[in-house]
Amino acid sequence: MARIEFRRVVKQYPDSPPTVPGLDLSVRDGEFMVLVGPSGCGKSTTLRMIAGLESVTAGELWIGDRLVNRVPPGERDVAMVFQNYALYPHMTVFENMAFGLRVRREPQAQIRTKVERAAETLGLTGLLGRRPGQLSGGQCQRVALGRAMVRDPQVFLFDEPLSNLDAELRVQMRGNIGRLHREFATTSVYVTHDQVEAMTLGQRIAILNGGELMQVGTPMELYGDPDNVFVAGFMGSPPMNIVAVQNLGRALRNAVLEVPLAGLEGLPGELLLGLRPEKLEYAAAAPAHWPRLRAAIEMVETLGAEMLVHLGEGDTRMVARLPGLRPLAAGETIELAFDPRAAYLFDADSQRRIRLSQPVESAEPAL
Amino acid sequence: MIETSATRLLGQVFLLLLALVAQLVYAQPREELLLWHGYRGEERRALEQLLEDYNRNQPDARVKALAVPFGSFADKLSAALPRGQGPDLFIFGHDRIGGWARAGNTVAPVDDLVPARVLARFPPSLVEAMRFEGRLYGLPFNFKSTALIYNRALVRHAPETTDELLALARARTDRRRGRFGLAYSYTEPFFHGALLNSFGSGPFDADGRLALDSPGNVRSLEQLARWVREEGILPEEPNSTLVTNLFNQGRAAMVISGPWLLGEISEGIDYAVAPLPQNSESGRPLAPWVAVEGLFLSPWSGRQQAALGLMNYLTGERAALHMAMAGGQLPANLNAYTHPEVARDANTMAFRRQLETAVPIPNLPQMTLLWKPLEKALNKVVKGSASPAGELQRLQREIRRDVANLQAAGDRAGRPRSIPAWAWLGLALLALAALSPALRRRRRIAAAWREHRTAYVYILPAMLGMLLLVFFPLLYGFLLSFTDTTLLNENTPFLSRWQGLGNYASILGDWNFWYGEGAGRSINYDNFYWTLLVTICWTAGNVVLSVGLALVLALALDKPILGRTWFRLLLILPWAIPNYITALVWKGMFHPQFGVVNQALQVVGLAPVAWFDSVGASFMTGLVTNVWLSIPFMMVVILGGLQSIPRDLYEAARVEGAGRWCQFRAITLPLLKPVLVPAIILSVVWTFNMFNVIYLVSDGAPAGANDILITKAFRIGFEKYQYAYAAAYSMVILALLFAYAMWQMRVSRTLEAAR
Repeated sequence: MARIEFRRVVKQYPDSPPTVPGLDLSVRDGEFMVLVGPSGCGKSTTLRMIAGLESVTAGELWIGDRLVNRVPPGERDVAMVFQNYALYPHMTVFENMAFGLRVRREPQAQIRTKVERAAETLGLTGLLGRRPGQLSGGQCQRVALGRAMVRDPQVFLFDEPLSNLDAELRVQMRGNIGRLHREFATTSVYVTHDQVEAMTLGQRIAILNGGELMQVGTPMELYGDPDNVFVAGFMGSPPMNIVAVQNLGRALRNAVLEVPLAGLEGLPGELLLGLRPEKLEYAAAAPAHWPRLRAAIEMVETLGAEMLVHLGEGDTRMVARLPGLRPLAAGETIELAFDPRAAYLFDADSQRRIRLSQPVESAEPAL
Repeated sequence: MIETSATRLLGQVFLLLLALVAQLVYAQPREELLLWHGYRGEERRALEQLLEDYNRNQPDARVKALAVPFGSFADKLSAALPRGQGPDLFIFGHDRIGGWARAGNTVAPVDDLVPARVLARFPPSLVEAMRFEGRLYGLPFNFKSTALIYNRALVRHAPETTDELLALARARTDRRRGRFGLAYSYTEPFFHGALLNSFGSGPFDADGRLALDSPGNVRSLEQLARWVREEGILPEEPNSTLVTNLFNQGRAAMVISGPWLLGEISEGIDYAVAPLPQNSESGRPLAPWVAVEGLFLSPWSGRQQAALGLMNYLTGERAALHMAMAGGQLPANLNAYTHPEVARDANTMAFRRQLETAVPIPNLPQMTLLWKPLEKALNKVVKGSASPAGELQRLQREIRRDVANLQAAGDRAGRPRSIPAWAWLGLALLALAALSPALRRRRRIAAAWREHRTAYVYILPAMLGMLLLVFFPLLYGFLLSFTDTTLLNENTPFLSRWQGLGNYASILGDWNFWYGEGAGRSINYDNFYWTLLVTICWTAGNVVLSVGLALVLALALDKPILGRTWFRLLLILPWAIPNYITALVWKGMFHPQFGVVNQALQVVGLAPVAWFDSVGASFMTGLVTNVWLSIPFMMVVILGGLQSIPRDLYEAARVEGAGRWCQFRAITLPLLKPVLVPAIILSVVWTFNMFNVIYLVSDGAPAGANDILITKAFRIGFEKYQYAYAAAYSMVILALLFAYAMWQMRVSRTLEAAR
């Protein structure tokens, strides 16, 4: 029973604007929640408030059925994995993992069993006698995980735990963490700035920007149905193309494209159109009724099976993810097409998503 | 290319420097007459005016004067003169004559060179002071003795007898308000001379044999003890600063001091000088020691006639008058006092009258050995921890032994000895051991020289400095420790002083832990093992306290408390003050009567503590001072260490439920170890050899009980003048520290390996 609940939580340091101006968020029991956002967005502060390392300026923070605003970190029954591992350099791996249990004065034998079991799960059995200085980064990270695990806490907190590892290890550790969560199903809150990590690990993701919660949802909800330009631009790699368009009443137009759409009446004259790079296709192979766009190629990034084609025309910049079959060169002009149903509309001022009352229909039904 | 030209340049600069130094050393034109003196201020000006006048009127002999700092004057003379260097003439106190004459080649006898009419200028007692074993070794120039200086607002007429003096002093003493009838540095033997000599005895009998425990001497100590302990007319723990201050504040009605005090008396004090009164107990006048500043001739001077001419001029009436009027001196030429202008000065004339009863300090070589032990004895007696008779008997035995040691060494000096074969063998082996690794690696050494020539040239000056200032003295001290060198035989050939391991045997084999028998038994504070025990307690106490307190302060200042920067600054400040100044300040604060510590104790209703009277209290004074001195360094080091501990370790521990104490024990302390261990090692070494604090604060009081090894070595060397014994003592200290360092290195290496 450990859900985490933020109720209008404010965090403000003296003589500065609030870092977190008022957060409402709830993490369900057993859920793996990822807090993601650019640096300075308040995600780490939020996590540290759960741990009790930062005080709550106003509002209520609940863990399980307890209001924990004034509960010291050690009594919150949470475990935390730090970005720099925060392993005690003068203790062996065993001692590091056993530290929290010893503080709680658990019986020696029990400590030994718990640590050895965790070590086995994490493949650390051979390393129990070493000191952190003798371990690689990945091993240190596993020790830090193990130290959190042995405590069997109500909540796991991860503060960018993988940012100091190289790419390959990161993928491996991501797998480890995901597997452990499936196994133990402990409520977890995971902070990262990497949207790939967020997508792959999170059952739900909370996107923060400037201390404000932008959107909470499953990875696919955020990807498929973003609430605003920020979320749309944050999720997906490469990110969604957002281009400025003019509302002509029955169609949207800018220098490179024109999209006939119904239901545009009453909307402002300037709008933002969002198109995912992977939704752009070669015009030649696309249904005839899909809108077209023509633009010059600025650069081609070849990734093997596919390529990222950077287009530019006037102020408009777009990226298309195309199958890597045809040789394309910078300077050529290319014609692409897209399914108008895959386009997103945003208000240019508020950056909010505009959901048309009628679903976007093409003139002819799709095949 | 650049390298070689840089090297060449460096070489040239070096040669230039050498040439300069050589110039300074050897450029003394021999036709000049060189005079060394220790005068300062107006005395110095007066002397230099006289010499200018002399140079004007004597074109063929130029006199050049060099004012030598007084503290190092004696050492400079005894280092330069026996080797044929130094001045043609010098001015110094007469009490060293015996030592110089015994050592030989230091001062020339002048009785064949000085005509009787010149000697007739001086009172016979002063001429007598310049004689040793029948020969005259110089001419008296000025003299200094103590007399009674009194505050005319408090004392109308100078007392004629000590009974009068006592009655007067009793009336003027109000201990609660810090007022005293009489004040003087009564624990210094020079000042106690007045009482001592009034019984007609003195430290030596008529034949020059040591007679410290003569009945007269015992009575003089009894009288002093009565004045201090029963009459209470004298302040406790006196020293010249205290005496001056009391007199200037009008809190001392009378003081016994010399002409040097007159320049320091505040303008508001109306004072007068009078000869010391008659001692009612002995029926003779109080007879202070008189120190005669003599003009001495170097036996090496190539211009004896010119030098004698200068001596004649300086002791003449004109010069004497000038020294008296411009220099504020008391000239030995008594004709000066008949001059109306001098005769009008009542203070000068009072000192002149005092000369009638004053006794020249004995110039026997043994006298130099007496001052410090006698001071210790006086201290013990006035504090009631020893009886006058018992203490003087003990002192008599001790000094006789020391003198016998010196004498034995001096007697042996004549017989050169051959060096034992094992010494040669040992030296040869040592040289071989030192050379063989160098020989084995000569290729690598040559290669290293070729490759890093510039680097070697850069470190050359530092290496030379180290060689000259560190390694040479070390080696010299090491060799010295195998001899029996003392003040009396230091100028004899080195080999004749060789005695092997005798010094070490007598230091380490000193099992005399006790003095006396039965109930009168007391700890022998001069025993090496007692001193070692004190040193260890001192070191351990200091390190534990200073590291502990510094840790507490550093932990407090590591937190972001308000005004943290200011607190840090304040706590580091004691470091910026030279430690001897701090030590002197603390000594003043521990003064039993005027110190702020006792006054604070009294404010809160506690009894004042006689800080320097008991072993424990005296130990505390040094401890407090040294802890105060060492905290800033320790705190800075620990603060640095604290700041290098990552914050997230504490956060991790907090999340795991560790409390403050647990965090301190599990994280702070172990992670501070890398800075704490070296800091403790340094602190141990510094404290072990912390000379200043011990010497300046408690001065080993009581009776040397709180001396640590290094101050004891100093006392043996420079108070007992047993140089070789002191060198051996230092070598033992070095060995102890070396052993400690080795052990510490091994411990820290195992700690390192465990990390």
